[in-house]
Amino acid sequence: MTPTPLLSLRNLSRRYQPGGPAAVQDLSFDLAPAEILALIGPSGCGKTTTLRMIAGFEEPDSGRVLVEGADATRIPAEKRGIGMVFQDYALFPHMTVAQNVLFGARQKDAASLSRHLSLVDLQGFGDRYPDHLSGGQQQRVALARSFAAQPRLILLDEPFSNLDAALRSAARREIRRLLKATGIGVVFVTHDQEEALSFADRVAVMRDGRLLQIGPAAEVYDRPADAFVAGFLGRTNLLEGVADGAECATPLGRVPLAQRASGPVRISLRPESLTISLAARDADAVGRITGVEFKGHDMTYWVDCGGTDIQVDAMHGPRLPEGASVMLHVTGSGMPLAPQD
Amino acid sequence: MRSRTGAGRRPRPPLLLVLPALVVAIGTCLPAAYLLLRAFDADPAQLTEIVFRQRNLYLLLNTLKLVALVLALDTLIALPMAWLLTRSDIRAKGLLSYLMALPLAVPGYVMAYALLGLSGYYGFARHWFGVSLPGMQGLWGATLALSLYTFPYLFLNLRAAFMGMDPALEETARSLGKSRLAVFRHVVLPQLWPALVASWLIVGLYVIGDFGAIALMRYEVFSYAIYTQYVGAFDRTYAAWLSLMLLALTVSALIAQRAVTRNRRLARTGTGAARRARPVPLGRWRPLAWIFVALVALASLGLPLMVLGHWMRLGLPQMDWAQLGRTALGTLMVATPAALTAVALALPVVLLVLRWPRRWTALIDRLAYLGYATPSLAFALAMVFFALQTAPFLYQSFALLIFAYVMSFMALALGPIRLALLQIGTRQEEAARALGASPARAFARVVLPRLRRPMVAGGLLVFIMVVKELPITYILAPTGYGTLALNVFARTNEGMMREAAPYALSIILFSSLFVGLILRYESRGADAPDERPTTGPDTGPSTRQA
Repeated sequence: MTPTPLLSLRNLSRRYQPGGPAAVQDLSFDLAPAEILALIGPSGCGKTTTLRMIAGFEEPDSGRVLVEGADATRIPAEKRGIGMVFQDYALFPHMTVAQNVLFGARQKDAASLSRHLSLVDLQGFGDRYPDHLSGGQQQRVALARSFAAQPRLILLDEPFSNLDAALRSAARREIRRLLKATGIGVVFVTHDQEEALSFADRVAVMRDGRLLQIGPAAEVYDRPADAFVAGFLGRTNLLEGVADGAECATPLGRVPLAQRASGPVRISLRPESLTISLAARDADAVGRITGVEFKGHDMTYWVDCGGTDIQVDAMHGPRLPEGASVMLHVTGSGMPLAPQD
Repeated sequence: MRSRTGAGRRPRPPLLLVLPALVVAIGTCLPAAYLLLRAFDADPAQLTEIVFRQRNLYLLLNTLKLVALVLALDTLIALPMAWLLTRSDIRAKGLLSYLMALPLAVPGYVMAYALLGLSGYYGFARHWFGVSLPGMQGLWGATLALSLYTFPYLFLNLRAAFMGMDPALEETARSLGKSRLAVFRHVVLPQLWPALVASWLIVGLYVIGDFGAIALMRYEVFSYAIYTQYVGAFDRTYAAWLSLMLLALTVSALIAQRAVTRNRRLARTGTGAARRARPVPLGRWRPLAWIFVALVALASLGLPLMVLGHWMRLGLPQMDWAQLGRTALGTLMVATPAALTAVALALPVVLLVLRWPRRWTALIDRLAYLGYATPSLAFALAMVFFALQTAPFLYQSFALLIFAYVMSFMALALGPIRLALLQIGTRQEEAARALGASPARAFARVVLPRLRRPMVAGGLLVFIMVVKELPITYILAPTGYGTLALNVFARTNEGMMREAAPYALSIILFSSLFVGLILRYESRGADAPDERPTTGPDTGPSTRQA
């Protein structure tokens, strides 16, 4: 028997103007205790509205928010036991770090303060004011402030977007370790696919207020439900072909499928599922290189294969020039996609 | 399962905010309502006679003439001055800018007093220089008195507009082959337009509503006519009608301003901060520029101070210090509660407008500004009618006096508070609520402490206006009570220049002190250091592992 989910959304809908487009439509998902879930989608897809409905800052037009199985839809934000860390951290600028951390703390004693400060590696910063901290430090104060209130669940709104690129991946690893250590459930919103994939246990892709696909990060990446998910989480090649069970005939030859299908299908084939090599004879070539992007540790080639542009990521091998006639070999598998509206 | 078609539930604003806002709405509507009641309190024959009296047209023309002249003179002073002090390479820009803002501290009736004290047989000019200037009464005297203290409004707005302008636009226009003059006409002037119109409106409303300077200059406009009707002829129905016409003039000015500035797109389209423009070298025009600056400073500040000093010296022997002290204290005792009440009412109004944007909250906001725009003479008269008709015990009471002050000046406190609340935003309150604080506690702990500065600034603005205020005090003050302003006016009106001087000087002193304070409090905005990551080495988690 599965334990009660920490958080359940049931058919949440919200529109800002009566009769206008829905910001969020019929959204449902569950979050297990101590799980980290990423809500990802292009801007305006409704992910922040969803987060604010979970927090209690917006009320859904219909649907329910359940926290540990109990209906919290009409419970005011301050009584939900849900923490929230904002994109700009929303530290109280007129309070010291210590006052910030203790603002919502259950235990307002020195021991609790130093425990929470050391949790985020900010011992000795208690008397500083937020404007004397760096962006990364401010973020950790915001986290410590949330932890001190002992929420069951923390919501993060674009948590890393205000950090320098150099700092981001380190902060990500550090905060993920922290969250996992405290065992608090997390829902976070991002538009950065790399962030979603590396930070979350599960990823929920949203578009136009609807949930397109939810699942473990690797699964959503490897087996995207449709072309939008495939394109939004990473780069991909979309190929038309005819499937016959475990394989599919495409302009690039026969491609093994990650999921059985038959008949005419469109498949997603990731650029890293292909290798590229120089064609010895022109007769062997499937296409010509039309673009080369050198990215340091790898390269991306654009290959014109009879009118379709194919992306190929190559880690090793000879660096090929533009205009070269090349052969492509499928090393991974393609994913048949659901037809899109 | 609940299901609704609306746009979410719209939480209702707390009663604690709605009640004060309603007081504001009713209070600012009262004048118009009571003027109307009183105006139609006559028989029809008399009504038509009053409304179509030839004299009304004469008063209207006089008022418009005065407004036009003051605006023209103000623009002639303020536009070149603003350009000089932002775009040229003239020195001491900061100090000069402060000097050009300072005349705000000189009330119109003090300026009129100075001009009157300068001219005439017993005047300052003849006493010191042996030149007997012609008496400066009538249209020109009024124009000069009003211009010399209202031009700072224009100057400050234009200065801000010049500084906010993207110099890249001018540079682009010049690189497209336009002369400096053409650039000014086609690029700079259109961008100054909103600031110009906005400050014309402010100054225009001042001129329409001004009473002290005009009464001392004996120039017949609406406000002066209302005053003589009320004081001399005691024809209150006609006074009510004149007040209504004055109010109508004010409202049409407000509407005209909205029409003129609508649909103008002047925001900077690019991103990034505007660079400072390279100063234009004055070259051989430099002496002329300095003469201009000196002339304006002398006329607007030096003149009143010199004239006051002159009369002060003459009057010092018979000076009644105790009386002056009592008057100053009396002024304080009324201005302080008025300022506090105004701030206490302004906060809920701003909160309602920003946090519960509805049609009715926007209306209350507008009404607060209408209360400010209502000529204070009309406001005061309406209060008299209101008190006599509904609660005679309020007539000439401190309560009614303070109420009138609050309703007409509360709008001044709205601006600083609104700006601060916008800067603070709602994020931090939400963060506090996510940490378990109730909405009231979140506001009290997170927002209120940071509103201290803007509330003080708003309160000071109201305070200074109350100290300078004349018509409301004149008409509503309890018998035996006199403010500094009232003393200046009454004495000057009777030609007692010597006796008026200390009171006028006290007002200038008071006001300039507060202008300084306001500049200090207002310039900082919300008590909020920018919480974005800015300077300092970033010691991220990776580098700070123990």
